[in-house]
Amino acid sequence: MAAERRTDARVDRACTNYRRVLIAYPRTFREEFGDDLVQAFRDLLLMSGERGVWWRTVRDLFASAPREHVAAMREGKRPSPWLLALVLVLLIPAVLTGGFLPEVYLMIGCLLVLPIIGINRLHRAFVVRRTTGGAILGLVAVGIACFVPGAALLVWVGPDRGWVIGAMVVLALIVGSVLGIVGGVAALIRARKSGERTPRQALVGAGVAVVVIGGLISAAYISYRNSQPPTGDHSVANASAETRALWVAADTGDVETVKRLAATCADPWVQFPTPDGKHDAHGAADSRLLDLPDDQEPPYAEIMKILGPAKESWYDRCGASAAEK
Amino acid sequence: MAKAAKAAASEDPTPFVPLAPAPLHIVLALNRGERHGYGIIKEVEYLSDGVIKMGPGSLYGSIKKLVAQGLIEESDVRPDPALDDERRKYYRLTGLGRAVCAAELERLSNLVARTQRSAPARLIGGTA
Repeated sequence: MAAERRTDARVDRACTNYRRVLIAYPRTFREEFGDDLVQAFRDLLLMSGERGVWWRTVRDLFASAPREHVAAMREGKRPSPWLLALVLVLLIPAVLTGGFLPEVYLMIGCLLVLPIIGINRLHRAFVVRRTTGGAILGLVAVGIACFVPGAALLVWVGPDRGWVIGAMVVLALIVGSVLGIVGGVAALIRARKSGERTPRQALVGAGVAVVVIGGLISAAYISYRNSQPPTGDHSVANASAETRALWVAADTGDVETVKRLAATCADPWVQFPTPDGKHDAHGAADSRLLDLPDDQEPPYAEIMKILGPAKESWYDRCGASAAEK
Repeated sequence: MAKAAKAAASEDPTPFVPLAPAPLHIVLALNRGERHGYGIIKEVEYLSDGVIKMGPGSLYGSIKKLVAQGLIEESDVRPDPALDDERRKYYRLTGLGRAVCAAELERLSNLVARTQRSAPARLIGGTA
């Protein structure tokens, strides 16, 4: 009897979790068949002895949910913003990195998706307050737990965490902006068709999104422009002995030599060939920084701090004399 | 779609044949009697010799389409609540569904017969 009760409780819990997973389907499909889906899942659990049911159901979900979304769109239903966000979160990194890299999606999962779920849980616990004391504690515990993998990942990443956080913020801004623009345009089209006024919130959201996207594009352009060499000859063939010595010092982590040569007209813009492509002195130190263990990184971090300003000031200090030569 | 609606009104199975694998197996499962969701899943497994294992999402996605096409419908008949969970919905073939099922079975048996007549025996399990 006790074993039966335990099984019933487990099946009920599994069904509750499955009902949550149904969010992957379009709302109309959920409303029409949600109870039937859960009933079939319950029957599968009870009759098949629970073995392999979750695996079978999740595989089925991945196959059938996109199909139902396509069917819903063909019927003229609007796609859910969450679905659109998921597609963007999956596609944008793939486009930017040139493929589906598991480590990138691990970062996104830990630093973007889980924290959003965590914030949602905490919001429900403290703001919505539809639940009882015990359930609030549960929501708070889950909310806090959602931040743990991200924190652990940032500790593990070490000094590069700034770069990782920056990448996640940029991704979130891109996804949010695209959603805002799509939502605004959709609201505008709907309003045109129905003859009603366009909701102000949608227009403001789309406006903010356009500004954010514009800001991101400007920042990317400025960053690209700053990474381009100033006027002058920066070829390897004509590189001076001083320039070569600067590059070697940057590559070997010789801070003193870099400091000395960075004050002269050694050219930090010259790109020397390396086994993994071409790097200038700054790039050589950066590439070492990425490859080496934490305890060997400090000299390279310092070299990068010296060479950044040296690159920016090189044309003013030496460009004219280099052009004369 | 309009063609299918016209065909559904005249109970002409031609525009619905051939059915995709999942709807075909559901129609074949319901040809053996009224069934609820889990009953269809199990019957499809039995008919396909365990090759097709449907999950709830695929099942109800196909059911939605088949109901819209008028090939199946929800049954009003409910078993005794003492014997069955009353939350279960039962489905059955419509007249058009039965016609489509018969047309599909005929098509498949013709396919098998033609293949056996034209293909070398070794391709169909013979010894030549």
